[in-house]
Amino acid sequence: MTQRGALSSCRKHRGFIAGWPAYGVALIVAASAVYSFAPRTYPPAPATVVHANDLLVTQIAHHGSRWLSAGEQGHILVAQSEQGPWHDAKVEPQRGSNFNDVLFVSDTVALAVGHESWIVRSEDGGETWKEVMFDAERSEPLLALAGPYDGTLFAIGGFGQYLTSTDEGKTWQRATHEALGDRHLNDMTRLGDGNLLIAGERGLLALSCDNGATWTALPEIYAGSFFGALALKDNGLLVYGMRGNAFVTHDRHTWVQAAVPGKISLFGGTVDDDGSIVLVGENETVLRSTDGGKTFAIALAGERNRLIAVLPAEGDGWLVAGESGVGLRKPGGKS
Amino acid sequence: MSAAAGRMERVVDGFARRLVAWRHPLSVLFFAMTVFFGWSATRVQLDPGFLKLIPIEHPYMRTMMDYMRDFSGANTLLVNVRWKGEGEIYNKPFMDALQKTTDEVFFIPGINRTKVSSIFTPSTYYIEITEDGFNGAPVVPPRYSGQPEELEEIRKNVRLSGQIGLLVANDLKAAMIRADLQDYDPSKGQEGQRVDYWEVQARLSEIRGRFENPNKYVYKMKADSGPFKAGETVLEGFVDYGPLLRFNSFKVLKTAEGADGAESYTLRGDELDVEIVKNPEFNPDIEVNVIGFARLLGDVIMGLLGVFAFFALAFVITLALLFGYTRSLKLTLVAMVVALLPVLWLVGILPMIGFGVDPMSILVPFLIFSIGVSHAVQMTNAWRQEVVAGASANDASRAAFSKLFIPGAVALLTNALGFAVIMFIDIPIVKELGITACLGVLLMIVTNKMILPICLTHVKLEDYCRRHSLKPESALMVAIWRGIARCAEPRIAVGIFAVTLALLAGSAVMSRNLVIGDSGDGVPELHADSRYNRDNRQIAKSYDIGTDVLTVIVEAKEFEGESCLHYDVISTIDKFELYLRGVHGVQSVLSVAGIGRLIISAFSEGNPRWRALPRSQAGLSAGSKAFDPNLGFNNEGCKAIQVLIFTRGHDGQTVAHVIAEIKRFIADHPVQGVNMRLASGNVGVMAATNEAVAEAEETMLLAIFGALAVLCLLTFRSLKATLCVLVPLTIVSIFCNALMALLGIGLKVATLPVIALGVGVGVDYGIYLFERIQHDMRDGRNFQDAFYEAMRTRGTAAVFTAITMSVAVGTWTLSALKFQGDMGLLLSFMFLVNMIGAVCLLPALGAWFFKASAKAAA
Repeated sequence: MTQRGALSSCRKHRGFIAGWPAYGVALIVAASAVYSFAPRTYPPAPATVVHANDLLVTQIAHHGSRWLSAGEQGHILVAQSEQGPWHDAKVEPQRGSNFNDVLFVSDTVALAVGHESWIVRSEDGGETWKEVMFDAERSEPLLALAGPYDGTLFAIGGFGQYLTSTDEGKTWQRATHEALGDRHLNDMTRLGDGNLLIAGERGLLALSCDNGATWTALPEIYAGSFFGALALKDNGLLVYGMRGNAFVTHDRHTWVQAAVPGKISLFGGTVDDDGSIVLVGENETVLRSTDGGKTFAIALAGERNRLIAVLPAEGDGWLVAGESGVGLRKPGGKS
Repeated sequence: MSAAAGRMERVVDGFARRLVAWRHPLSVLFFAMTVFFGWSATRVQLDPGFLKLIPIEHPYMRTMMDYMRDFSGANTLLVNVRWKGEGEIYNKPFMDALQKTTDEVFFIPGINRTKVSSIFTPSTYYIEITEDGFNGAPVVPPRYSGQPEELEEIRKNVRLSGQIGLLVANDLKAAMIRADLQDYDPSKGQEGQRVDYWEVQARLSEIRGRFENPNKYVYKMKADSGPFKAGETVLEGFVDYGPLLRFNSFKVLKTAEGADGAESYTLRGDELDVEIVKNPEFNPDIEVNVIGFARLLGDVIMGLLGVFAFFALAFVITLALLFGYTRSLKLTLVAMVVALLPVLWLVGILPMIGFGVDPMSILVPFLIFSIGVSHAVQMTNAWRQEVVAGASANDASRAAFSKLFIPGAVALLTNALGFAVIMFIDIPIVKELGITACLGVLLMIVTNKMILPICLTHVKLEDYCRRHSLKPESALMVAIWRGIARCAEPRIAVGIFAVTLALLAGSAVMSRNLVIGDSGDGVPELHADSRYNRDNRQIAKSYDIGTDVLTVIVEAKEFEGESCLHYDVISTIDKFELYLRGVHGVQSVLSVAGIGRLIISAFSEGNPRWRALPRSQAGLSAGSKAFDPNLGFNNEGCKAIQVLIFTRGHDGQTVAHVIAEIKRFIADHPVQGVNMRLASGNVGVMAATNEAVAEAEETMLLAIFGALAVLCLLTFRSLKATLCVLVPLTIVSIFCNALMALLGIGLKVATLPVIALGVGVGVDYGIYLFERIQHDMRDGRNFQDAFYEAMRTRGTAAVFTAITMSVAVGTWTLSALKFQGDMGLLLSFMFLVNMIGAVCLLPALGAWFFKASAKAAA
């Protein structure tokens, strides 16, 4: 009995040893099956980041080798070259409100303003931003920054908001001016003679001859809103706004309406190194005038998005920003 | 062990005797059943449907179903009218065509008429900002009559409406009509009835034909019928039905004399004469692109008509192969007829259990037929061997039954099991495929194991066949069998192992590239160059919004009043929108937040610096036009809001990445009272399907291999035998995955069942062969001799079967439907390679497994 049992178990044992290549194959196949049918993963896709060409950008600022783009939901993009690449700066705390303007105060200090009276300040050329002011209850936005003019910075905005700072934007003082009322103040610039000008809602043009201490409204030349003002190289002044309305003056009394093709609203402008005037607006249009603002011609036109800001770029073309982000545009195609 | 086997054999022998003895009453019974199922089969109907294709139990799909009434889900129709002539769309012929087409789409039955939009619908507004505020009015003036100044006005209004890229193509060469189909047609009473997709697709074909077909078809009555007189023109159309006219029916409205209102009559195509006239509306400058599930279904059904051609082709090829193999016309015919019986019975049973035929289950009859042929071949082969050896037809039938009942029934049960595990996939259309296929195989146990032996008792083998069978096997065949039998020599077996393992290593690595979901663009059901996919590309390239959309539903039920006026709700959506725009694979995003901001900036003189969400309810209410439920982005009170995410393509990787990134956002941004739910839209459906498929894959594989292992263990009572059968099948499954990865075929609803089907059918060869081997080894032969004997008696039939079945399912690759082609190719591969595995690898494994026992026996 025991002998037979031992023999049979021995035979079984021998059977297993003799069959080892087959068992080996079966094991390898089982292992391959586990490997082959194990849950599959995909190679990692590019990370989720804010795309510079798919963000509402309301303003661009340039100083030395740094470019800043501010806009939607508290994003400020930073680049070392006008061609990019752009990366997201650190804004703390991130309030998620839109920025409307960004400005270099010095080599390292920069400021940005936006909705809910949000003011942020950077001391490292725009990489990190600290909050100076924010008021969630105040729904009117700050729309523009200007200065520093003789050491004073200005932040203006909706419903006559008017703030000044004399310490590079660390602290701000609110003020009200009767001449400005409760209109939206869209832009401020300093003229060749040192006077300050604010352009705003419903034809508002106001002048200050004492660096912003007092303001006087100029006689109305147009009932619609002005979105911006440019000091020209020939000491002239150009104001622009809704539906293709732009006016030039050299004495602040006589205004000449510029000939603008199409009735597109104009939201931003700059003066090129050669003195030609560039305006941007609806339908991704870039307009250019080489006769001091008397006539504008379409330099570039695109799709339905609006352009809000423009800076001269190296060589031919401009760095533009707007509803389809920030990017270089050259006559003869996008780049 | 052997006592149990002997008892089993006695039981089977008893069955065999009774079967032959009672063959006459049984014949009557089976004949009656065939007539009954044949009658029932005439009632089978096409049963396509949108909901059948989706995993309805998946959480994404529950979200979709919950909001089916508020949002369109994935059942959107896009009709794009394209101007191929000079200039832009602002000309009278184009505008007339667009207006006409808008009207036609509006009246398609089952369309949600409140949500049809084109520039001709009054819901399409433009807003013009002026110094005094803004004007808004419909894009097309209400009294449009095609005057040049009106066309200019439309041009201006379209620009202001912001519809370029949405309802008007970016290149201004086309305009689109969007419409949603309701899966339930509200016009058909309270309960609603399912949309008649056949009618919808017919109406879409008419819409296209009106401008694209140079001919018009005028239908006249052949004879008097009801209120219609012979020769009366009852209908005009723009679709050439050709010889298929007789299969169509048309609804015609007619006011009978004396009746108050018009009544609808259905006329059959064969009641009508068709006269072809010139189509006055034909315009070579106009092209109509139509995409959407209803159109797709129409094209898929057209593709299905090809199935009958493949069936005929497969039948003829099988017939020829079978005759070449049996050399007997009688046996060939008997085998073919018996193989067709389960197909007929199955089709007869479908209407009784409430099933219809859909694009996927239509392939089941093929499969059943092929499997039927394979089993019939085994049976007729065994019968012929008996007859040639001198038995009478009756005795031969009995013997064939006795010998083959066990392996045949086990093989069929494993097939049934293979199909049954397909039911683990939680997608109705796949479940139905599993149920029908399982049922078909079970029916085959009756038809093949009972009807076939009975039929064979009536057959008298032809003399030429008998002579052919008596001829000694040709030297070539003997050499081939000897060659194959050498696989069972341990030394050769090692070589086979080496080759197998090398192939295995390569395939296992390659199989890791298999993609879940689709690879490539366009709809996966059709080939890339099909009209539907060309239309799809045309639309995708000329509009901003693609045709691949994923919808996230944001629930905000607990907020007071209009939820969209709560900053927490709307800003979360706004953040989500911006986040999504940065996700790789997302083309564009549309939601109330973006549209609301746009409207708010319009209130501020169109200044984009005001394009932000105010934090107060009063401020937000400036954008409340965006929260109008008629725009389709939210329901009443914004209790649910949909975010439309247009993706770049819908390949498995893109879908998985976008879904993963959305889940991350949801996890990182919890907001009290706001619940973001995935997912609807066609990409939502794909995401759910891909996840269901991925989840089902493992379950299905474990189930099928587990079940096969149990069945093999029960049948053979030997672990070694089970391994001999299962190892080759496992390897072939890995090969199949590698092949899919190589050919860029994704793992999806259509291809997931392939492994189960292939393994379920492929196991037959192993079972038939091993049953014979085991039988002979029990009689004292060593493994190698037993294998040679099994190959001689059953191997030819197995090889023949594999070739026949591969060729039969291989005909599917000719299908106009890509998924049928993919299935055909893969199944064909599985069937063939499983056979090679069974005749090469199985003996090699056996040679080593049974090496010791062979020596012991010797």
